[in-house]
Amino acid sequence: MTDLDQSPARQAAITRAQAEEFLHHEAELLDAGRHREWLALFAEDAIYWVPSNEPDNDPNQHVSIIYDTLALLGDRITRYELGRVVQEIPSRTLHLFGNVQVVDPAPDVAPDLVEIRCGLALYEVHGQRNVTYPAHCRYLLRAEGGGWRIVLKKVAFLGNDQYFQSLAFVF
Amino acid sequence: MTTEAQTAQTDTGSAPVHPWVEPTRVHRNAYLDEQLFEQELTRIFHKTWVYVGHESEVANPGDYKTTYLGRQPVILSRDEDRKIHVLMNRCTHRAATVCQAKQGNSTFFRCEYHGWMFRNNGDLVAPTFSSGYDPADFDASKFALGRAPRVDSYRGLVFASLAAEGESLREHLGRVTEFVDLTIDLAPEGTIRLGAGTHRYSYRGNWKLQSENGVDGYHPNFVHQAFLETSYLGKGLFGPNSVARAGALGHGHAVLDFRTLMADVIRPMLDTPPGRRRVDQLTERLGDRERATEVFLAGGTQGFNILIFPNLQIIGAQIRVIHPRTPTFTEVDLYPYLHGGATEADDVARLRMHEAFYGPAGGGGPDDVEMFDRVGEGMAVEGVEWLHFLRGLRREEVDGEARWGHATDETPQRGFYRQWLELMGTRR
Repeated sequence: MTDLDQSPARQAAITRAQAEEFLHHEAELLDAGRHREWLALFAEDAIYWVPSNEPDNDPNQHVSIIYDTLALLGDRITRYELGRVVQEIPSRTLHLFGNVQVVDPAPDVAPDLVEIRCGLALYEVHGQRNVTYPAHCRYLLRAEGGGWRIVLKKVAFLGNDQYFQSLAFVF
Repeated sequence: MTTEAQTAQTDTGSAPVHPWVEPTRVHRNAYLDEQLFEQELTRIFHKTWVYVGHESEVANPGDYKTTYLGRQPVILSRDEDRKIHVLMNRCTHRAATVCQAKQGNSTFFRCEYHGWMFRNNGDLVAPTFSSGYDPADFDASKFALGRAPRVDSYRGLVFASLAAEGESLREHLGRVTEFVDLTIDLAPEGTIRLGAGTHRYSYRGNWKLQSENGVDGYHPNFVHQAFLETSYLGKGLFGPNSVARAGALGHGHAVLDFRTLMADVIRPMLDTPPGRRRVDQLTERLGDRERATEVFLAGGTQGFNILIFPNLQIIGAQIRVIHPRTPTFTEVDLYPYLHGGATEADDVARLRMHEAFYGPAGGGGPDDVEMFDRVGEGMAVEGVEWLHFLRGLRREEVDGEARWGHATDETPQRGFYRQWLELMGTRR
């Protein structure tokens, strides 16, 4: 028998095929520069998190490369759209998601969320620079308005303890 | 006009001169030349006081961190007697580095090549398989790790000098301590601490570009216009009518001082209960209400950017360390600093504030790096070969060793290069 107090009943489920479809759609929006549509994939209470130094740490105790609320993510896109300085020449990207797994969420995850873990090979071309950023990703999604919305997107770069040239593109 | 001004400044007889660095302009070779870069390492980084870390990073006996003094790998360590050492990260046997981790806690550093073990004060315990060493040839006490001959700290900031003699750290810091004090006094306990991780970024350009840029009030309205569009700060702070100032403090140190503007933002808080509580606390610790109010209104490094010659900056919520790697490649470490005695909510707010602008994906950092890359590319041009730091030359106010100009003036950069000339130039 499941003790409901210990392990809340999951109210949501996603198949791996649905998860892959979602990620492929996200990649398509990013790589096509359709950032406003991409932003619409995020829930009102979303956090977009890129940890620094380690794949996982407490963002309240440790600096992050990015720790954006929906509003900050919107500002990021506004800066991108202004096309100044570093974005004078927009980055071109290719997002390859793989090793997609639907996993049982941790006990502290709200019961209406599903969790996806996957690998990301992100290629960026900017001016003379041509860089690959491999990363482990974690998503928490919520079913809203007939689709999935991102509540948490975490991108843990393999090289997040190393020196980056710059990560000014929206990724 | 340029020539007159330069003549006025260089005709002092004993002022040091250099073919590539003049009072208001710097030749591209100063950013590109390999031999000059080697001289900078020798005469600046391996001689003057250079920041190596903060005491809070090695708070407990056995704590260590690795970093660079110029190009040389070093270990900042605290031994069992709580003494801080700056050790050369180089086995005295056959040169391998003895410590690989960025930070940690250990009583010993063990070289993985032939197993030599060193205590965290640098002493060699004994060579491995010691029967192969005859006491006639080998004295273990002569094989301790190299040590920086002078290590000293100011308000927890640890500096080392590889010169056995020279001016003291206090003499070197001079008037910049005024701003370091304002920064650290603001914290509830009068201390700051690191340990909240780092941002790291690199660029294809000379280290001096970042030293110049951190106290440059001329560039924000252009380089950071996209950020200012999405920020409450707006373009007045670094506009032509700003009342903010830029100062060269002597010894190459500098400050971009916008306290007057921050004070307008902070002053309304003086009439609120939390604001009054903060000033009461500060008064209790500092023993003087006037000073407490000054510290509160300055807002720490929300109110000014500090450059400590040659490669340390305290800006926003961060300690920034610039590492020269090659003439045209530089690595930069940003360490967010937290206030001793602050609440967790304050810590979180500082981290989020830092991330909004700084770091490899911040709202402003990548734009600076982009400009360093472009400067690096532009400097390949022959025939147009000087970088100019002329702005505001005629309106500088002299204040003892310091000189003050408008926020957008190149007064800090001229001061930086005066110290550079002191260490690198030739006296007539």
